[in-house]
Amino acid sequence: MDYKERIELFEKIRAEYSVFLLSVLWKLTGDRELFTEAVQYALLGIWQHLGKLNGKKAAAYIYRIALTANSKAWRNRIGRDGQLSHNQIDLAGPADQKFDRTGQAAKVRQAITQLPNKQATAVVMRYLQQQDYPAISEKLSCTEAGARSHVSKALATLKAKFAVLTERE
Amino acid sequence: MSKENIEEILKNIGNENVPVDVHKIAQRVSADFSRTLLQTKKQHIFWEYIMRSSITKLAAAAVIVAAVFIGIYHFGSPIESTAFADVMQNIQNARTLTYQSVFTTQDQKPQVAKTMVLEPNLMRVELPEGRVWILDHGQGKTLLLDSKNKEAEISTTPQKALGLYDTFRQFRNNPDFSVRQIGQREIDGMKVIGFQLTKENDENVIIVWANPQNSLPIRIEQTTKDGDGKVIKSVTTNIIFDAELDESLFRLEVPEGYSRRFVDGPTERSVKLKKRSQTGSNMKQILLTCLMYAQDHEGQWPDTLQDLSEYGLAKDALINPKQPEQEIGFVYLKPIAPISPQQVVLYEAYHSWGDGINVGFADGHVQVIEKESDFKNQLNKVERR
Repeated sequence: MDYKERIELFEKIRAEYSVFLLSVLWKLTGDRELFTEAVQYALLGIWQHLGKLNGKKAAAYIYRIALTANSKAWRNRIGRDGQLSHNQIDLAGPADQKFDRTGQAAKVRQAITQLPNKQATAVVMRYLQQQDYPAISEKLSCTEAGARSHVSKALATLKAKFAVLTERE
Repeated sequence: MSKENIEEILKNIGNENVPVDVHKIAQRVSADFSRTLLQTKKQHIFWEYIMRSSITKLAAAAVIVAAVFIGIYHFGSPIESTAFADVMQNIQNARTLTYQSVFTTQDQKPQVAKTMVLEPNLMRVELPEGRVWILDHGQGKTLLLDSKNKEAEISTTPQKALGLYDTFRQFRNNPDFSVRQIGQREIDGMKVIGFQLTKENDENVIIVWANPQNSLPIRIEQTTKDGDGKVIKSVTTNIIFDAELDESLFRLEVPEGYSRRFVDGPTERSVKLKKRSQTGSNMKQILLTCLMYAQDHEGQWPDTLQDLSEYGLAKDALINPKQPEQEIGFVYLKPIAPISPQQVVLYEAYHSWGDGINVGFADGHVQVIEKESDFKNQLNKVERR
């Protein structure tokens, strides 16, 4: 595929998933700065994995791309050691204010970035996109019980991660 | 917190609507990304600066017209632009310039702006409803006067004004426009000759109509798009060169009786942070282009940053705003397979450490490292590899 064809395919795929990315990435980030970063990473992900997004498993890959983009954006914000970057705090305002504003939802969002891929995808489908279990199981290529299990495990993991994040404060 | 509480929070997040401004952020990021993909050896800094600045779109469009005057002399292939160069000969050494522009957008009434330029650095744009915008590119200051509400806004934000000033210079040296003669027509009883200026992969079209007798431009028509994709058409007439212009028109002084809404310039710290952010942005652009390069070269990163020019990376992206005098303000460490995403591949060139530098990693992210020891540790990891 030459460069021109790649660009055409990229634009087609971007147009196809733009509403999905906008909605999911905003709900996952809840913060304009993070959202901007996440969208950039998602577009880069699409560009890098064009071939995979043109096939049958495109829907699964787009979730992976969105979740990876979100994790990268959060990682830049919180640092690789799990601590908030002081530089980011300088730019975005005092840390306590920032977290007072975003509150518990921010902690949950941050915790989602630490979920295994299938659990994160299941959570996004179930709660952020409000899909039912038959739809989730179809997209995850598993049984309905399997989909419920992913969601349940994800909630348990989120609960544990939430507690850790709260303790750190 | 129980699982049920977590579930409740997730449901609330799921019910959130996407704010309108977030839609715009997504559109902007997306458009920027596409532009990065599309641009080939071209600099889009001009349009980006103009369209992203917080000045009114109308004033921005007036600036574009001014830039046309300043930069136009240099456009075109030798054959096509010979006659055009004649037209521009008259303005090459002009010390002042005035003109009137009518701007039409899809959903607004036509608006008129009168612009005066006093070379080398001063510009005054008189906008509808008694607003006047004065720029001093040399000092990096702008003054926006609202005579209706008797309000004045002085901005000493150097990035914005310097950005525009730099843009002028870039535009002046931009060789990428092509000029085509488009024949003759009659305007106000006068036969005029037309030139169309276009740029590859750019929808903006500029048409200059000139008097063939004295080679003076008498009308400029421009079609462009604003940041939201709305079409702006402008027609510039009443073009006068070397008219006497009183320097007092360009004074950045707040008239008596005006209230000052904002006078303070940025603090040293905010300037520093802004530059740091600009530097990080340039580095992200470089890394993004590197990743595209690697995509097309079986994972191999470029040998040097200059190799990225083929991928449309503007030369300006290689400049570190903290050290604008250096052609390349970054140190590039070509990663060799197996590449770790957390590997340092780019960092700001520096003489003394100061309060930290931006460092770029192989996965495309950039972060500020404040302690030199932390940075050296990261570098050592690269050396060990």
